[in-house]
Amino acid sequence: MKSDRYITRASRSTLEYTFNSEGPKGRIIKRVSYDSVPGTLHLYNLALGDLNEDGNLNDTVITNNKDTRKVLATVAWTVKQFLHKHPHKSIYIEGNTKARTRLYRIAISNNFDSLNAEFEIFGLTGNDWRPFKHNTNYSAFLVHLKK
Amino acid sequence: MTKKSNKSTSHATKHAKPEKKIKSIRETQWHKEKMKRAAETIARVGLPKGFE
Repeated sequence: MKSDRYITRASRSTLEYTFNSEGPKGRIIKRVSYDSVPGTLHLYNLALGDLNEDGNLNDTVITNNKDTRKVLATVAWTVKQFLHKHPHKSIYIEGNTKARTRLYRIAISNNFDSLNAEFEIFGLTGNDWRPFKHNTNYSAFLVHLKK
Repeated sequence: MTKKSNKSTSHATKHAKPEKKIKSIRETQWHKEKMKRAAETIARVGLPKGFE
């Protein structure tokens, strides 16, 4: 990975990864979760949430903890870990908002060389999946291990 | 011989903050909606060759 990343704790199932974002706003717990997309056999959805004071995880907040690059590098690292643990599975990535989807695109772009060496990455434009290219807008992404 | 007091330990235990329980992302409404949207997108556009 190009960027420094946070140390993560994986759940026993290796479907959830938790880490602490550290910056001017203090320590914020973040969790990446992978869940099977209904109606598919091997496709898992990536979700990233921030822990609220009430113990709920929210994926719409903008943390603004001045560590976006490090957080995104950590998310990219969990993608690698998940696909190494589950080599026959694929990951589906879509933000809850356009801004969040753009953030995922930046995460892929920032870590593209490292990811592309091992994984096939597609972006969704309209109704077509296309191989990922830098500086292109996509509404969702797919990632899996190269065969 | 003096008897050791465990007062400080019990005091700390009594006043220790309960560890915050993190609910699973799966329990949240936004995640349920997100999963539904993902399933709808895949049903609509399918997957590229080699992904299923």
